[in-house]
Amino acid sequence: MISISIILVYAAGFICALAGLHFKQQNLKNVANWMTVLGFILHSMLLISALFNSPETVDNGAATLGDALTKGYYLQLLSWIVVLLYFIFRQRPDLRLLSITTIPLALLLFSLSFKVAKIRSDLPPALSKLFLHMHIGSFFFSFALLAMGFGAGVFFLYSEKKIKKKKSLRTELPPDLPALSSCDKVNHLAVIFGFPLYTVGLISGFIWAGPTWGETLSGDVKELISIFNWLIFAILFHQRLVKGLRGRKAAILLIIVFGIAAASLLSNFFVESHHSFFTINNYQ
Amino acid sequence: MNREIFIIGLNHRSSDVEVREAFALSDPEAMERCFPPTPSCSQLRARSEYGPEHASEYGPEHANEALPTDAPTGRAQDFTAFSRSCPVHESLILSTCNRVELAVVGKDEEAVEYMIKRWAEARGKTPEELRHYIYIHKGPEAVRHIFTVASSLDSLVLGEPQILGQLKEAYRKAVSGNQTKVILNRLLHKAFSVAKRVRTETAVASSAVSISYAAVELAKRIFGGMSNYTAMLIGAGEMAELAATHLINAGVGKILVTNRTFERAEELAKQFRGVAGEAVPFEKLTERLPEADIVISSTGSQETIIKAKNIKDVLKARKQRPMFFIDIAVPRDIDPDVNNLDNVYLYDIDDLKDVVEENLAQRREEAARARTIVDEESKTFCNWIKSLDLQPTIVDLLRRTDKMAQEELNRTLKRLGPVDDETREALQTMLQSIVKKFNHEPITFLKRRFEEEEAGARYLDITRRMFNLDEEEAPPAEAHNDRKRSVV
Repeated sequence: MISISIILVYAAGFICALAGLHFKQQNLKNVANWMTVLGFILHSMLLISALFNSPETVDNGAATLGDALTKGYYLQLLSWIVVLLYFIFRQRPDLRLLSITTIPLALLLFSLSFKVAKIRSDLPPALSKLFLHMHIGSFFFSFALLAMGFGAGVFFLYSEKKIKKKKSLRTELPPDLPALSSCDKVNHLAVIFGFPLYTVGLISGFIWAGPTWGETLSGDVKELISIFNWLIFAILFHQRLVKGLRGRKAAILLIIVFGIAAASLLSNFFVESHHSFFTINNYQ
Repeated sequence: MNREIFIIGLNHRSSDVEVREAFALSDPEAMERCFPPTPSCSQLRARSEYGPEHASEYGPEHANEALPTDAPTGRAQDFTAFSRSCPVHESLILSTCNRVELAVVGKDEEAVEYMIKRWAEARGKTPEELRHYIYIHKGPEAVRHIFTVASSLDSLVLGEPQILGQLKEAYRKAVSGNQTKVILNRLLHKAFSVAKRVRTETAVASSAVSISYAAVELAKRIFGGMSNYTAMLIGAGEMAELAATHLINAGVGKILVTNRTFERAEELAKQFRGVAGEAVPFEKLTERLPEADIVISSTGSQETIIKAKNIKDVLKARKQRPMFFIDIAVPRDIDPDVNNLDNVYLYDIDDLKDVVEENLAQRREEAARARTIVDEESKTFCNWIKSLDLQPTIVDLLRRTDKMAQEELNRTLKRLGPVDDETREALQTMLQSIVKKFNHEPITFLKRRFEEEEAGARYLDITRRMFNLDEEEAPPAEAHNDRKRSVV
């Protein structure tokens, strides 16, 4: 079973990474990286093969690609984007530590996808489909960027506190921790790319909701939370770009934005709404 | 063969700086006078051909060099006879500001007495004076001592690597003076590799133990790579100079220097190699401060130069990019409140001292691990020395060839299938006599060479290597040059 092996490989990679950090073994860290790469390849294969095997295509060969993906597929896609962005950030050697926050997140999202693996998500007519894809795609990328920024933010706050308080470099600041400026750079990237994507995700969602549900604002909690979160994100974006906000405050704001976004994603499991993973969308 | 390694020395623990100065041998002339006389082969041959009265033909400086200073009876003395009676076979002199160490290979304590005498006389003192301060190590103790020194476990600042370079230099001098042979060659090469092992396997030499290096290490934790960053030195004294060296090594992009006397700033800025340096007039300090990511202040000023409220404007001009202030001046140059500002980090000399102190503590912890490496390696080395005697070498040689013969015999018998006892015995006798005949010549040769004091150890060493009696792994290709030097 490919999905189980993906979970195992990611988990093994994560455990190797932790062990490598703890025992200061570069070999273990390398193994961890190769595990993650292997998991990512399997993950990509799973996503691609799922496109061709979706239940609809099997039922009547007429449906086009990816027309009837399950909700589980979307969560797996989100998990995949998180890992993808991790690999991009990993190109900077001192950001390798991001693995210890992003891999568990990817693992969590991937595992959660099984809860909703079978629930169909039939897509609505052609035009609104575009907006739905925009809505989901840009939100997902924005979420993954926020996840990176979150990890970097946690490292920043930790290291900065130690440096300000003049704590021992040796015992309390392990050499694997990225330099403050590297963390801040991740924050910068997460903000300047994450915020526009978040905005696109939000707007396309409303545009899609109009014709599909008959009302642009249905007043469900998730929508309100997202608008609220967008406002905080907007403040961060503005301050960061115009006022040169950086460092500790930027890190804290981004952690808050990520926290709300994560809570809002998880609410899909618990709160009854349009977004709930357990409702079968039927637009006919 | 009775040959013993001795170490005669004094170091920063055994004696004060005045004593170390009085007995230092770092001056080439003093060192020359301390080394025992070693006539080169050609000189010896020349002397025996032409007789000692022709020695002056080789020029006065040669004659003086070759002649023992404590046997001033003139060059008419039989030189070769003297050289043979000299109790010191090999020697090496290491003299640094923290220690003077003489490594001596000789037959017995007589060699030590001889070297102490030469050492004292080289500095115009009496041996009694010197004996008061020195320590003497013998055999395994001496080996351990030299390994400890090479791994900088005996250094004033534990783990500082300069000593290894100094030891290499001392060895180079001894080699060029023809003072080392088999034992010291091997001992020193081993010492270098032990030092390397200690450095790679323990953290005894890691982490900063100087104020300015600790500051640069901290800067790396804030800025990561340093190449895009600018440093500013306020004050151009010795501390600033040292900090600049560390900054340049860390790869900083640019260094600004400011000082009350502008000329001194200019002078320092000109010295920087591989990095852009610029002197800034002291009045323009605040104006140029926004350019600096790292500020190192070390002026003798009585009041604070940089105040927190000034820095707020500086930060605004810098769009809040982080700044790292290092205040190594006493009294302090920078207002401590600066550390409370966002994106600003301030370390003063006490904070850095704490870092250094803690790193030193870590080095001390690691030193225990390093010492076990040293112990292990000195044991191996002592075993080698022991084997460098005639009897064990002959035994090893016979054992090895016997073993080889036995193996080949077994193999042949297996291939032949069942044979009668007569054939088996005949084969065995034949092999044994081959082995015996084969070994006969090398053993007689070794025994004969062993009569001559000088050559014995060398040939034993060669034999051990040639037949690989120590069953060592083949050395890497680059070891060839080292080997070549130590064999010759």
